[in-house]
Amino acid sequence: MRRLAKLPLFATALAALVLNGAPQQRPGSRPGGNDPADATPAAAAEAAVAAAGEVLVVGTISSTAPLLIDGVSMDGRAASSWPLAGQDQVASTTDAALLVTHDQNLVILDPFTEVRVSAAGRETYLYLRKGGLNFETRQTRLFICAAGYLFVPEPLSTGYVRMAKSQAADATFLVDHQVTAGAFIEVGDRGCDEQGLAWLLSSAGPGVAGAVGGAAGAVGAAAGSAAAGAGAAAGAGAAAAGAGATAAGAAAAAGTAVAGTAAGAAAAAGTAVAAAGAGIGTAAVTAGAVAAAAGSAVAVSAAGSGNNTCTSPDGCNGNPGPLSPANPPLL
Amino acid sequence: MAEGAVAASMPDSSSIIAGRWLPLAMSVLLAMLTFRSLLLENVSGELGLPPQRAANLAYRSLWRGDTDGAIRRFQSVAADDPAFPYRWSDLGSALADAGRNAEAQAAFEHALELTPASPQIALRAANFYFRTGQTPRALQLCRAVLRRLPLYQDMVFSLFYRFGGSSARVLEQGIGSDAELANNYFRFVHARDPRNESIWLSLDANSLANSTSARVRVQWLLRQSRQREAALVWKKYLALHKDDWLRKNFVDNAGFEVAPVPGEGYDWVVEASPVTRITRVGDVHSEGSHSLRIDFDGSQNVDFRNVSQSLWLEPGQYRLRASVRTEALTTDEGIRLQVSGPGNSSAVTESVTGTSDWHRVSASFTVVAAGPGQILLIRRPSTRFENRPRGSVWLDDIEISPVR
Repeated sequence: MRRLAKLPLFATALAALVLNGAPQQRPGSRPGGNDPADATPAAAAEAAVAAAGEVLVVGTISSTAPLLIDGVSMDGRAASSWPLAGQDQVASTTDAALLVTHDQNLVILDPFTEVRVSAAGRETYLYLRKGGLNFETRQTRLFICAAGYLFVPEPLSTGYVRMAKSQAADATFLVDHQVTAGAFIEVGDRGCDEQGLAWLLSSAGPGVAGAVGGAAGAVGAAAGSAAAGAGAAAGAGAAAAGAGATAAGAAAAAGTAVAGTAAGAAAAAGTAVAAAGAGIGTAAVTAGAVAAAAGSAVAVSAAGSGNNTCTSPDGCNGNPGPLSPANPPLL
Repeated sequence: MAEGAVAASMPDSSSIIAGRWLPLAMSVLLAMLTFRSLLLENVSGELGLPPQRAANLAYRSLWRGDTDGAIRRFQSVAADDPAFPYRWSDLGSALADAGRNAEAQAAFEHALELTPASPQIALRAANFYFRTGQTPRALQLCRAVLRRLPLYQDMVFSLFYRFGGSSARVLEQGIGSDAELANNYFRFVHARDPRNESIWLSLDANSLANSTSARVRVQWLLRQSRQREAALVWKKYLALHKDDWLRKNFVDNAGFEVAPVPGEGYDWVVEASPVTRITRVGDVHSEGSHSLRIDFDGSQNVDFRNVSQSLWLEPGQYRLRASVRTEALTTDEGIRLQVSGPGNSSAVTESVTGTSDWHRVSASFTVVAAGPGQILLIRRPSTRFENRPRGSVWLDDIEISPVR
């Protein structure tokens, strides 16, 4: 009977919960589209928040261990999840942490991982400072900047991106990445930074990135050459990078439908192919590679299941299509 | 015969039921009925799990991204354990994740109704309100959290700082008239963004600032070369004689009545020296209850500049005066007071050596344009053969006053 003491209020609340069904999706809407009518309930809530002049929440984070948000320890015993504002820096500690972005993508931060979270329009930009993360994208892309390079899983993808220092004396950062479903739209094709602005402002198009195997920063910078470091770009379907790259095998192992086409097309066009295949691979990002990325060399990643070859303004296969001046990330 | 014996020795089925197996069957049935009644009384209907375990399952659904599944589970758990506020709070979080904010708000408010005094429930609800842009309600809840559980101060301040909006609003709605909390929040913000001056202005406007915050503010202003503002903050919050400082006397703590606080500001700065001992003493003084004593050990021809105070000087004529006492202070170079003011204005008092009782020394100077300055207690190196000073000096009642 004690439990019924609050019956009227309880009944009201329960009735409200029962009577309100799950959010209805607009018929015919497609995932990842930029159509404003695709707005999710969360997006509608965001719009209301913005209209009220309040701070937009770019996601929430939960962990069973304490989290650091902008250096302040947030205790999971105090609240089950914490809201995140744009530019918040989040660090997981002894346990993993679940980050739900405002566009409903799921990101699980490894223990002792640090990211800076920003809204990129209706999408999310994560600057990975340290550690690694698993992602599960829903209706939108997710922009992940790791070691200065941009990784963009398409909607409905799952996979991971992890950073680790190499054993080499030059303190090279290795970016380990993989998709287990879906694909990467970009795998280190462009440089990026903490603010997420460098690649937006670079109108020259993609720089060199991808799997630049080998500590020598073996980037095939010379346009028109398929050579990439010690390795040579192979034929269709295989993108070879430097000595350390696992690209060729990976491309074969996890290559999605058009990966080979992408590489082949890139090679045929005389463009340096320096990438891991289809999401699996290890990008060794060195100072040399960064410098090359800032230059004018054109390299096309063979990864990302060939989405880099998509030039349709409407996107390919329902995806938003590659980033370009005509399709910029929505910062 | 043998068969007949066996058959005779075996009981038939009816005798089993009616005989020794019947009590066992009844016991099993009774146990099952008891377990069922316990189940109905105490466990969740969902999967037959206790509420906590069912809630954990719901969280797993949430963390897998199955928001709708999590909501269904949380709804079930809340229905089974409706008096437990955490269940409603959990449900609220899941509903918020799904963007079902009206329902989420109902769930959070219900949790708050069930336990109005719980900081955890209030904080969870506050997170929801921040998330949905209902900042005034969030600040109100956070204020309650701060009152009940100071341990959560930094977490709440982090929410204020990131989501609370203007400092004035945070102070008004999230902190209220609690001066200690307000000052703690100022220091929290200042440590992260010292250029955010609105928090200080709000604190000052509401007369909530204390001396600790004022000192932080002064130090920052001085580092920005904003000496005049620093001086005004010092006068309002930190000067020993607030009414007289920058009016009758431009030296603060002129009689060493309080121990100088280390750090930048307009108090005395005393730097340790290996050849002197500098102490604030109460046994000898010319006015008040204390003076400053410096003992020279005679080991070095010291260039002493180890006691100083920053100044802010407005245009005008000034007289520098101080009470000095010496005891067996050797060498031809004794102790002096020196002022370096804005626009190359300066003054220095005569050297005092040997043994003398308290007496006044003075000098005059003119300041043309307002600006920062410094007063120093000095002993210049001697050019004589006997140049290592030994002896003691007492200093008191130092004054830089405008000449009318």
